[in-house]
Amino acid sequence: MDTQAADDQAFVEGRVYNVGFATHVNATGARWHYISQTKKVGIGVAADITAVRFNGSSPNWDSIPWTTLPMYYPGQTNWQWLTSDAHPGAPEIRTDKRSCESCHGGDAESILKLAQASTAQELNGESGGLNLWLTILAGLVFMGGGTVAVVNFSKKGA
Amino acid sequence: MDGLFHTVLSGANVGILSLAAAAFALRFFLKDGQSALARGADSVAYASAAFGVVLAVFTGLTGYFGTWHIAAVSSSVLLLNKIILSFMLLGAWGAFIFLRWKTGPEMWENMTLKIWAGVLVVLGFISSGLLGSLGGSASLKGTAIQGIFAAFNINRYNPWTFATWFSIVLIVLALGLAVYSSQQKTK
Repeated sequence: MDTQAADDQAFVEGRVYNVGFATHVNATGARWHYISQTKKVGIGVAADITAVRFNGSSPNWDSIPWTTLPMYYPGQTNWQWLTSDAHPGAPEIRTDKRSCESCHGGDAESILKLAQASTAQELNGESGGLNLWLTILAGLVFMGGGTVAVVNFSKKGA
Repeated sequence: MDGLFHTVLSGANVGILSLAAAAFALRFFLKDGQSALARGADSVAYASAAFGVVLAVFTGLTGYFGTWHIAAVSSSVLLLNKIILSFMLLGAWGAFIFLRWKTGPEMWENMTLKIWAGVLVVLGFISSGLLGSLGGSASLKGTAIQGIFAAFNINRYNPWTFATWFSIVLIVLALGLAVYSSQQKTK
C-alpha cells in the first residue's frame, strides 16, 4: 500500500507478497488479537489471493471471488513442546522436513487444532488441561468444604 | 439458538442474583430477626439465590453450546476465563443455598455462619458482575467495569488460573477442614 506514510511498503503490480492478517477486537493491543496464517497475495498475478485491477469508483463485488480466511487466537507454546512426543508433528519438525503451515494451513479444522493446542499450552503450562480444571475444582472444593466445616463447627459450638 | 438467548438469560441472571445479594445485605445488617422486614429479606435472598442458580445453569449451557462455535470457546482465553468464573458463581451461590438450607433461619443468629454466608455472597456477586463484563468484551461491546480491571492491572486476555501448587493446597486444606470438622462434630 502506498499512502505516502514513511513506513509504507508499496505493492508493485506483477509481484507476489507474503501477508498475514490481524483482527483486533475488544480494543485489544499487543499480542491479544486474532491472526490468520500467512498467505500470498499476487498483484495482478495468480496467488492464494489475487488482486485484480478495476475501472470506475468501486469494483463489481459480485464478480470477484471471495477468499475466506480462518482467524484464530495465537496461544503460546515453546520449542520443547513442539519437538516433544506430545506434538504429533514433532518428528517432521525435528528433522526440519515440515513447517507449521504444512499441517495447520490447509483448512479451518487443522488451524483450530493449532489454536486449541497452543491456548491449552498457555493456560496450563506443561500439564495439559490440568490447571484450568484444577482451578475450578479448587474453587468449588474451597467453597463446599469451607461451608461443610463452618456448619459442623457451628453445630459443635451450639 | 443464537447469542441473543444467552444475552437475555444472562441479564435475567445478573438481575435475580443482584436481588439476592441486596436482600442478603439488608438482612445481614438488621438486628431484629423477627421483624417482617428481616423475615422477608431472608426469604427473598434464599429464593432468589435458588432461582438464580437454576437460571445460571441454563445461562451457562446456552453460552457454551449456543453462542459461539465450540472450537472458538475452547481456543479463546477470554471465554475460558468465563468458564472458570461460571463455575465459581455456581459454587458460591450453591454453597450459600446449602448453608441456608442446612442451618435454617438460625444462620442469621450465628456470627460465624453469617460471615461465611457473606463471603459466599460477595464471591457470587463479584463472579456474576465479572461474567457480565467478560460477556460484554466477548460480544465486542464495552464493559462498565473496565476501569476496575485497569486499576488492578487485571488482563482479561491472560488466563485466570491458579498455580498448580496453590490449587492443590486449597483442595487439601478445604477437604482436611471438612473431614476434621465432621470428626469433631461426632465426638
